[in-house]
Amino acid sequence: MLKIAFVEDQEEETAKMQEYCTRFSEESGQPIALDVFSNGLQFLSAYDPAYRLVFFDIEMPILNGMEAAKALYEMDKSVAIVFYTNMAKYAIKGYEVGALDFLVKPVAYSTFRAKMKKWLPVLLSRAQKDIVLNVVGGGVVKVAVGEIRYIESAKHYLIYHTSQGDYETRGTMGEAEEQLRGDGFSRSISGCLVNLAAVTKVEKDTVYLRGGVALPLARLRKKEFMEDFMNYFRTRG
Amino acid sequence: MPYEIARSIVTFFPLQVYFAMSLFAFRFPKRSLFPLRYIASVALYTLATWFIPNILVVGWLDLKYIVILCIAAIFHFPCFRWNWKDALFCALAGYSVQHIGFSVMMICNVQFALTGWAYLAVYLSCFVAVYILCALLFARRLNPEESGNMHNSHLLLLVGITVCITQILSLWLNADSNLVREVLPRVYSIGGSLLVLIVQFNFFRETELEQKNLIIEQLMQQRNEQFAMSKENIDVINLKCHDLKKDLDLLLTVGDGAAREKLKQELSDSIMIYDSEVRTGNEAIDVLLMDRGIYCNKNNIKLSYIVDGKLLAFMDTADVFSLIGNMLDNAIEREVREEEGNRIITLRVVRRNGCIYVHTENYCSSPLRFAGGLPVTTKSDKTAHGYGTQSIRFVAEKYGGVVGMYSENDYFNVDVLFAFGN
Repeated sequence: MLKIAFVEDQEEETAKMQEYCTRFSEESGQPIALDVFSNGLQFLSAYDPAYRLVFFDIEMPILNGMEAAKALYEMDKSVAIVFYTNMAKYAIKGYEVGALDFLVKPVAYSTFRAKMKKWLPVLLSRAQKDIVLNVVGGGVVKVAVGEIRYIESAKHYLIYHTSQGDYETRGTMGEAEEQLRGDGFSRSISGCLVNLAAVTKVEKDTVYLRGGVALPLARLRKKEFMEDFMNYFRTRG
Repeated sequence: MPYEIARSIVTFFPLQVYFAMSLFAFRFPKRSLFPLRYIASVALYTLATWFIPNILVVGWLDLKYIVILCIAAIFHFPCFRWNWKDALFCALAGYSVQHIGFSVMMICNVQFALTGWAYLAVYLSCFVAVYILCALLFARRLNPEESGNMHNSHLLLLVGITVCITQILSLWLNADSNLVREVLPRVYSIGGSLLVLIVQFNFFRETELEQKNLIIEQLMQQRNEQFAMSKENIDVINLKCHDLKKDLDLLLTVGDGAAREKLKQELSDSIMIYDSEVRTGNEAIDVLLMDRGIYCNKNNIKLSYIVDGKLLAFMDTADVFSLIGNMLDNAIEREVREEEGNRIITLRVVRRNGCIYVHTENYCSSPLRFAGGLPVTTKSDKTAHGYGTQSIRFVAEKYGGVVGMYSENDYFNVDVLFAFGN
């Protein structure tokens, strides 16, 4: 079930969105639940973290869409925000709230469908995947992929650096890479597999990660690393 | 006795080839404690090669030279951070330089027929002069950052074969000591060695590239002029609109009524369309969005943008104008051929995970053909077109960025990604 919120004060628009969602749901086989709110304040006071996608009209009474989106972004950075407006110029500040995209009214169904198709993998991938690690010295731990910052290899061992702590397992870099293929990982140097989601800054020869980690970025790997990053954005919006 | 020692050092082939190779190796990153490592390597290498036995001789063919070349390459590894292809490249280049030095020296000595210290002085001067010239002409062009040409396996193979031919020719000449016959073939042999260097350093390709860059630069120049024109136009329009609005105010203050007030508002809104606050934080993008915005409006293309223009402050205004302009223009060219209801373009310039992400997407009902990561132009005049996408890549790579283009779900996408600290 994909939960979508639509914050819009004009009834003809909400009716249209309801129709689009039903139609898209039938065509794609993806179950969709749409909730409608008539202004930003109403949406925020009834906010449910189960929403994966929120459409905001910008020009609304009481609390406008941009302000509401800002408040939402403060609360929850993982939800996808899309502006739905007739004034393109307002969306220019969309980067401040990490907006995924925006649609300019009137929106044709063909546009809606094409955009939804594009966003769907992004929206669904926000669900966390877990991996199970056999820790050296006995014991098994379950780690969410999103918690991993980077994986370091030393001879026949791997160290998973996560926000929960470090876990050492037996294995090779090739195996770890295979296990996490398609999950947005790339090597910065041959012995370091970085979770691109954890990256906070990329400089000439250094990659910075959450938690104040700085890793070297090999000169010969840089191009490939940046291309992996680009593909990561391609699939994550 | 001192003469004997000096002579055996100066004419010692392994050292000549070692230093020739070093001319190129010095362009690579050096390991820690470099001077110490280098001196130790030279000493150990000299020791190792001094006692190379003469068992490597097959008839007039002496394999000693090739073996020494390999040893020289191996002894460079502890001093420089490089891989075996880098080493092979430098070994071949170094061998050619040594060979030119040796051939020049032979010509001089045959001409002057010197002996003793004078012979040695000429010998050494020839080598030093050739080495300095080659360092200036060739080694200086070597950039380990751009290893594409150096790691081209076909090129290395071709160069390797040429070096072997030069080597065999040279040995064959040594077997026959007719002086007159020696000078001319040696000139050939110098020519051959020079050819090796020219091929290695891709002089021919470079001129082709230079031409290409010239075209791109001209296009950028045109863009620059366009930028000035667009900006001027928009400034004029804004000024006129402002005046019109004032006139309108004056005109409508006569009389009153709600309907009149509404009309006034509507008129004033439509006039101020150009004055819409496109303020992205980057002047070039502002001008582009206004200019192309008007065009898109006229052609029913929905242009939407999420732009943090300040992120591109590290680029020249002209480059921003060229990059974003090309991205938008490519999209616009496609959209005017799509059905009216489907025409949509999105531009994003945002910061993502500490990278700068520039992205356009536009509706595209038929997937495009790609060649070398760039879409093939659909325009009939292929000589004049297709530079738009190449220019995007050119500008992106100028700032260390990477470019990706792909068709997906009825959309054509262009991604440009930059790291910080450019």
